[in-house]
Amino acid sequence: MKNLKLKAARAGRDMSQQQLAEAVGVSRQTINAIEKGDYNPTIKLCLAICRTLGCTLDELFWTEEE
Amino acid sequence: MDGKSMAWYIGFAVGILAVAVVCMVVRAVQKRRGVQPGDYDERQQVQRGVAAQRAFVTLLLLLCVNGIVSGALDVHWAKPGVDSFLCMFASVAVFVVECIRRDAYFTVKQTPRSGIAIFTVVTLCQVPATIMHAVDGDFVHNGQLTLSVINPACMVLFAIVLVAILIKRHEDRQEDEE
Repeated sequence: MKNLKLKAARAGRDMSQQQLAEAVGVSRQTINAIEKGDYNPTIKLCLAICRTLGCTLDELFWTEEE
Repeated sequence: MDGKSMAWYIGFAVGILAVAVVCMVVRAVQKRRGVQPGDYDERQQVQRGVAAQRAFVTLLLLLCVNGIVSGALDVHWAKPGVDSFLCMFASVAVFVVECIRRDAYFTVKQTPRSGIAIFTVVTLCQVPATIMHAVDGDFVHNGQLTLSVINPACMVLFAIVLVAILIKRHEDRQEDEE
């Protein structure tokens, strides 16, 4: 499942995938894979992304059950 | 040991020495740039594990097939040791190509550009030896592949890796544009 919330938060802060990747210490492809829903990040990486984007875990990674 | 075998073993030793020197130079450059050897992010580590699994299975399958062909069917298609080398090359090719395909070959701080340069040089280095062996007709002796096929095998291995890097780079650029 695509993580559109992350993509929107990143775009909202005018950051490219590369900039976010450098800020959290991963490759651009890893950020791309998370946004496309191809990779489930660890809690450590989720926290780093949240801190960089100034969001909470709920705001970026919580999904409601269908 | 005849002169030709001696020349081959000296060439092999020089090759290993050259690889060691290249590795040391690359590591020195990485150190200056602050790149750690295992500087892969968490996704890359997972993907490298998957690639290693596939390479391992490939090696097992090839060794099994080779064992059946030479042991049970008594078909000796290569000199002792050469068959194992070729199986290892195939396994290494699977690992590297899988890593490249999964964006897990280069570390976070590395760029494919350095890889392209190194693999191009290594591929081209194999060309003279391959041509020399081809001219001498050294590749097959008594219907079996000889150690001389290691040079073209190396060339093919590095050429495959080079092509995989170039294709991946092209795909990444297209993705960036989108």
